[in-house]
Amino acid sequence: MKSRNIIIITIVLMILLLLLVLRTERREIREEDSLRNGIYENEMVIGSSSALTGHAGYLGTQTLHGALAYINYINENGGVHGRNITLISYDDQYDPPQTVYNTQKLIIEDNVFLLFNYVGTPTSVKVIKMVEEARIPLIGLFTGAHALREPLSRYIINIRASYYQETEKIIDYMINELGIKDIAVFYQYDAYGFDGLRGVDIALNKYGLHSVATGSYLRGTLSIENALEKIKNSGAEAVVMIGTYNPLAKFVKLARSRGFDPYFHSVSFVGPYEFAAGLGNETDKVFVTQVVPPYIEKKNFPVLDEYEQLLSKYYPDDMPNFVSLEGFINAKVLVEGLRRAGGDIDRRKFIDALESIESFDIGIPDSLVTFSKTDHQGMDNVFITEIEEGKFVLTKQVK
Amino acid sequence: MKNIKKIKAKFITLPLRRKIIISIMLVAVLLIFIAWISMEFIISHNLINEINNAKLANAKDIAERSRDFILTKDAAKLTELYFDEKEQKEDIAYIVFYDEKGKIVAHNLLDSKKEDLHRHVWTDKSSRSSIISFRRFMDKPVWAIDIPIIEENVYIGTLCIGFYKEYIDVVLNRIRLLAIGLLCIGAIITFFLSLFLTRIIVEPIEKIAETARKIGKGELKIRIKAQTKDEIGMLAEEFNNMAKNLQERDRKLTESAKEIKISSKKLSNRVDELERFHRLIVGREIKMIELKKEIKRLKSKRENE
Repeated sequence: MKSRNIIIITIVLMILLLLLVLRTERREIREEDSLRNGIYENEMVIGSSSALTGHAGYLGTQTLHGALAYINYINENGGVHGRNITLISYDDQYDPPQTVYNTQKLIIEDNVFLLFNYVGTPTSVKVIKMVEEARIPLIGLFTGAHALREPLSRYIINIRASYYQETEKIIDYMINELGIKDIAVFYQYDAYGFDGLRGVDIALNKYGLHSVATGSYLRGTLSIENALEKIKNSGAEAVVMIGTYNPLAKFVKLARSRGFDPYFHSVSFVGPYEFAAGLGNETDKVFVTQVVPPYIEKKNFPVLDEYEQLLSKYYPDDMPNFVSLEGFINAKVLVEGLRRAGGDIDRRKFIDALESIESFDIGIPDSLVTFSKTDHQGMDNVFITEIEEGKFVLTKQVK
Repeated sequence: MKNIKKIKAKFITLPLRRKIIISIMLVAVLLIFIAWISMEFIISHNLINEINNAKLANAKDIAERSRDFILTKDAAKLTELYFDEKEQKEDIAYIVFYDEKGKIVAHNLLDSKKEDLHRHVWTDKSSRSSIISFRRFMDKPVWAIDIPIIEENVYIGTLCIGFYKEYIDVVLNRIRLLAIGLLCIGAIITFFLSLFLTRIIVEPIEKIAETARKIGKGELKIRIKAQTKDEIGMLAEEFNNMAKNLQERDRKLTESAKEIKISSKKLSNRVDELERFHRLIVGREIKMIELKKEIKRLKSKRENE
């Protein structure tokens, strides 16, 4: 009996010792300390870092204008629960280090309530860890990057469809409607391009296919020649492109000038109007998937009327375009979330309020905004458009 | 001294089995203690030095990678680098770069304003050599390394990097716990081994003792099966020999006793015979005496006549 007692005591001591693992936790920002940062009696301050200048400057500027068109309207009508929304916007020139720097400044120097209207994949992806560490919501990103959707982050709220959904839509269309199977990919050599490339691979894999060739260019450059040669030699019937307006427009024009005339497609991030402007006359057989409806279809989409009115009021020099429309829609969802969170708002309540949004009609029929605790992407709609007489229209077969 | 004598006296009276177990466990505990002291010595002198050097090398590596951005005063790239470092290494508490005027150029924190950092991070602003020290950063102990950045003998600024000491402590404590765990396992194994060995050693002795008891009670045919060739085996053999001898002697004694009994019976018979003869002779003697008396009486009568 005594031996057994010794054994039991020894084993218990061992277990206790093993349980005494000294856990250390990295110092975490206490959520309570920052929940109401940026909230004042008559004002709430939000922050944005986007490309306002540089080779992607059009994208940041237009999304900002679209968002501010709606925010200014809200502010003129009493704000949200009596608070005006102030948007502090920094230029990151589509440069990830600058995005990091700006984000840090917004969080600790400007004490913003939330982050809004970030543009681009390599820039937005860079701040995921910062957003989670600071426990600050980041909503309305102008990017369909998968990394911002999976794994699900409580603090990141996407509104638009993803690149995976865009590439899936166009691949389905090309294979089923156009009977094309030899598809190549031309992409920007960074996180954005890799994401699109992966989306195409996944979509092709559904049909047991692979891309016949891939080619890339460096972000911020127009060095597309090597990629063009490689893709041209593959005999591809269609090229899915993931990049920005200047390099992609150059790619299409140069391809055609060398007698290479496949179908071309770009995802929405390209900056459609700038892309179309860059193409000049070479707009045939060019598709662009969009996550918002083309302006020309405004009779079918009530949001387009509202958008046009407010854009012309606050930015009369701007023409309606997909990019600022997306910013406009982002702002509508943001304001809906702020409204639902109530007057005694904090970051936690704001996210809970967004997650409670179900079938919110922003003026796009058949595309109601819905979030949940497990779904932080509000919309899934993808429109395939092509250019007719300088205007983007829905592709006839999918109308 | 008195207590030691008491313990010794008590120890002596314990059964053999318990004596052996206690002896083995005492030796095991002593060895464990020596091993523990040695391990602490190794940790405190060697391992901590190694960790010191590793952290310094780590910090110098970050400083080297920062150099280009420092020279071009690219705050954004420095900030990105420092956040990337924090993401990759959990034990980094902070990285802050001060320029030559002591102004913060870049850092990787999200809840400290620049003026707060001055108070917590860089203390010895006059130093132009690498310093390693322990200090507290936001209530947690950190291994603080300050590395001056010098380019062509010109002081550019100082890179301050803090590593949470608790991560190192966790590693050290895990080593300690692992060692404790292994030593405890060793102690338990030693305990069971001691039980097993004790059984091997003591059982034959107990068998011998039991056999001796039985022999003492007269069971002389019992033998011990000697399973070992050691001293106990020899003792068992000798016990068997002793039992055999005793048994032989007993047999002889029994035989002798039988013979004595027979002789005794013979003697007894003889004695009986002798007694009978004696009684016969005595009877005859008595008759002779009586006859003599009769003869004398008759003679006397005749004489009287």
